[in-house]
Amino acid sequence: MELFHDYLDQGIIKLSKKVTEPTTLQDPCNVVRSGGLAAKNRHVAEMLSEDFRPMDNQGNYNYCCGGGGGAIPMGGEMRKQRMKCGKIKAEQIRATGAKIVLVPCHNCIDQIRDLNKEYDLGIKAVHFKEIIAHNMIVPEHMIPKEEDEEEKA
Amino acid sequence: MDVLALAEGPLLWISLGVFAVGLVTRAALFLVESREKDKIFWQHFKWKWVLATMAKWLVPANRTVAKDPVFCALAYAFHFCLIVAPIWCLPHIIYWETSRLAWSFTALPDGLADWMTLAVLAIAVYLLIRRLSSPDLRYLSTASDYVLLVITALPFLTAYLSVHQSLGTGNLLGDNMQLIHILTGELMLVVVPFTKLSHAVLFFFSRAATAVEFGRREYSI
Amino acid sequence: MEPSTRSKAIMEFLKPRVGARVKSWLEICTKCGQCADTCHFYLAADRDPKMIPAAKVKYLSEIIRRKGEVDDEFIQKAYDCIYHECNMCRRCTQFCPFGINIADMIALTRALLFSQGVCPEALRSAIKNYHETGNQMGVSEEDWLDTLTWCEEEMESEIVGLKIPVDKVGAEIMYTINAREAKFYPQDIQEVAKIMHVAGASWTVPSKRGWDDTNLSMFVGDLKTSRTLVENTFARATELGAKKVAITE
Ligand code: SF4
Ligand code: SF4
Repeated sequence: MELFHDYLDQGIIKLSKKVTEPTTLQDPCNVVRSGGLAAKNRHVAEMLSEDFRPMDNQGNYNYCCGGGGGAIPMGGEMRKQRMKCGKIKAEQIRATGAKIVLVPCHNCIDQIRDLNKEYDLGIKAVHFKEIIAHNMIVPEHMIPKEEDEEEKA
Repeated sequence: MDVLALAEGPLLWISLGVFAVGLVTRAALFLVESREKDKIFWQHFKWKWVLATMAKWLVPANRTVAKDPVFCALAYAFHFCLIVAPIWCLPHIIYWETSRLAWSFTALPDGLADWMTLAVLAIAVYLLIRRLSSPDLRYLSTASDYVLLVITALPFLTAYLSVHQSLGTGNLLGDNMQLIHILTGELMLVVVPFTKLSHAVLFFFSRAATAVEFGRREYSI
Repeated sequence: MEPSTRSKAIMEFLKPRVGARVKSWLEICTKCGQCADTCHFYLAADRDPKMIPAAKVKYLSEIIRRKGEVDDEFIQKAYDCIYHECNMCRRCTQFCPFGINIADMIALTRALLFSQGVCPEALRSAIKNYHETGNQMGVSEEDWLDTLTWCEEEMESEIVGLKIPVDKVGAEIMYTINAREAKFYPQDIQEVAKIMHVAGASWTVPSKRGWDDTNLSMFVGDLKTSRTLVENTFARATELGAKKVAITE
């Protein structure tokens, strides 16, 4: 994550376009509360989006998605409680009106995708890398014949 | 020796001693034990995080204040009055002046000390009502939470009653209010090191420990 | 196991681990309730007092108070609470006037239960996988290399000259992933490869144990496994002379 931040920030990677749909951002606890990367996390999200809408409590004081502390890998036994306690995150997301939720964490993303189904949020949860890989400018010499491959995004 | 002399003399010194030695011991034990068992705390120790957290919490400059301003305002006022009033009220200073130590320092104006005492009492009542009326706090609270609140409030109640002779004279309570005040004050001093009231010093250690823990992750709480 | 043997084992486990902090925390919590509405479990459960962070450590204090003399039913109750009602996210700690670290004490209770052989099945099997293959999903070294190869092949058609350098000595960045990616989301690896390639990064992926950067054993307090995993990763980094270890996201 930090690496992506630096690449984007220093212009090593350039974007051909930003995400136009409204986005919001999850603050995964391993990145933010335990990783100390709240500001960079947000900065990446802002660099990637045209219409970034922060959640309530964005940053170090954000709520956990409900999938932390081993809740996702615990599997079935935890599922019910996981959906229930995720209600707070679901409401936070809904309140932003975002259509894309940027989630730089594997654990959170599974949880937020489940929440999307459970609470009908009508959102898409994506990793930073997904967006960067799709929207970045690939230098000419690296592009094979079918040039518009990248444009699908 | 009559009871009042006993309470004013030896008992007071004993309870002050228990209070002071007790708190210093708590602090020392914390340091010793954490050196042994909480190595991580010392490995990452930085004054920067400790000072930052104290700056946020010794004055109301933290997120909890924003979350619950009423409770926090009252809680800060409670602690402020609770510490300041007994140290700088005139009767206590007179006691020190006439004691062997012959300490003397400027007192709070009487009126102010009175108001502070009333504030402590009013807030104690608020805390009690809050504890009784909230299902959360009822669930969390044990008997000691109620008892300690009463123990903390009693010296202030009796101080007020004794200074103003509110209960008049010629009755058992009214005549002995000063004695009761001294005894309840001593009781409070004695229980501090052994109960949750030890947060008087452990507040600093606990906050410091957690601030270092979070500071290790590069931000201050 | 006889209760008395168990209580002895419990106390032996706790003794070196209940330090000055935990002791003070259990004692000075003034039950002020400020932590209650900071926890998403509490809010989502319609403010059920059982979900107040400060209430969740009562199992730990009970165990200590009873000197480890607890029955199976108690352990089960503690289990339900510490695994199903806390994500160890530490949000509550940020609001507690004393900075009481509830998550730390939950972690300690989990570790205690683990020492008594109690932990979620799914995590138990992940730990078994860690021991056997070094990653949580039990992906063998061949399968891992296979995955990397076909990821690379598929991406080559999209980006000219794209490589996923495996075990390249002297690379600046060693990239590690969540083993779930290898099994369920290989496109994640491809996306990173693409970004790294375009950025012209000097990077590599280790082939041996250590490429899985997850550490599920941490969640049950299995510190031994936990440490081995971290050591694996750093051993690989040292071998390859990588300056930085980048973990997925
Ligand atoms: S906020 Fe802290 S002191 Fe208050 S009840 Fe919660 S854990 Fe206890
Ligand atoms: S650490 Fe546990 S108790 Fe505290 S807010 Fe997070 S989930 Fe709730």
